[in-house]
Amino acid sequence: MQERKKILASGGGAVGLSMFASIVGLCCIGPWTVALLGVSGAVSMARWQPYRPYILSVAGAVLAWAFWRTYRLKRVCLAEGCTDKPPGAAMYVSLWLSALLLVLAVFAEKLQWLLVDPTPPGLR
Amino acid sequence: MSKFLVSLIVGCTLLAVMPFAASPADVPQKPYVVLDKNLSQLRADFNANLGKVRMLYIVGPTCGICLRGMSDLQEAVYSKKGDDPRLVTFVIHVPTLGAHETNVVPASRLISNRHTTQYWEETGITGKLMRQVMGVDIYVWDFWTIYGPKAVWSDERLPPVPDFWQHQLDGLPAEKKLDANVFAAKIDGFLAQIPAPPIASTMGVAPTKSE
Repeated sequence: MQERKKILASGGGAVGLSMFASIVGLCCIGPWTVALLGVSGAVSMARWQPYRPYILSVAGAVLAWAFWRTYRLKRVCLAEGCTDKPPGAAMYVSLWLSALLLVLAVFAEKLQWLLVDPTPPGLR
Repeated sequence: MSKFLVSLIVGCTLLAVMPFAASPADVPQKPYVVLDKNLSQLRADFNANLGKVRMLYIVGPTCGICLRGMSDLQEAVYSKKGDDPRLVTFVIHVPTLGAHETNVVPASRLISNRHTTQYWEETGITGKLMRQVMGVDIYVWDFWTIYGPKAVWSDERLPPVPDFWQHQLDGLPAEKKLDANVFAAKIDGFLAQIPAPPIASTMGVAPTKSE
């Protein structure tokens, strides 16, 4: 059970970090940051921009650890049998969803320009 | 009872009439200038400050990165030299990322001093004209320029080529990304070309005759 908790915690951490990196990367997708956080909030959010690669790296490492533990646990359970409940389908699905989210977070900054054209409407 | 009724009616009438009685001077002035498509006011202000170091910024008032740029420059430049009359700044807010005029006031507070004018330019033509000036393929905003004391806006529409510029865009040279400290150092370089004002006048105190 302890093992599952660790995996869930690291997976959750990776999701949280990926989401944070996505939000930082999507700072300019529209007026939402200023509307939600105000000018000073938007400035603070933009100040995280240089740290995005580090946040994503940490998220990637945490997620890799979660993957390793999950698949290792499965192998151990298959080979030796285990007292812990083997990881269920939900855990695999959530791990792979986290991985997808992380990939999206990596490209969030570039993706926003596909979604939003910053040019003033009259000049497009 | 009737006195009470009369005073009630008079009071209500006065309250109803009060908004119409306000003189034009009571109407709060916008803390920014609304530009027309020809940028005529900006051009006039630019040329009126010939002989000074002029900064012209094109920003989106809802763009977090632009706002961070303004905040960085406030810290690196204006918190130290904001009162220097040789330094004049024009901040042009353009409607990028769905920005509206209502977004200008909160954004304009990031750079605020006596020698800075904020503008709202509704069409965004400023960025298009700057794109022509710079000869680049992308719409130019989040763009930070310095003009030396000799720069004149002589063309009817196009602003002059900046003497120094930085940006925060993809698609322009990475080495020209906005760095507030480099920008501040460049401003110092341009300021060195102009004689420093007498200290008394910068403090807002009339110069006194020496003994």
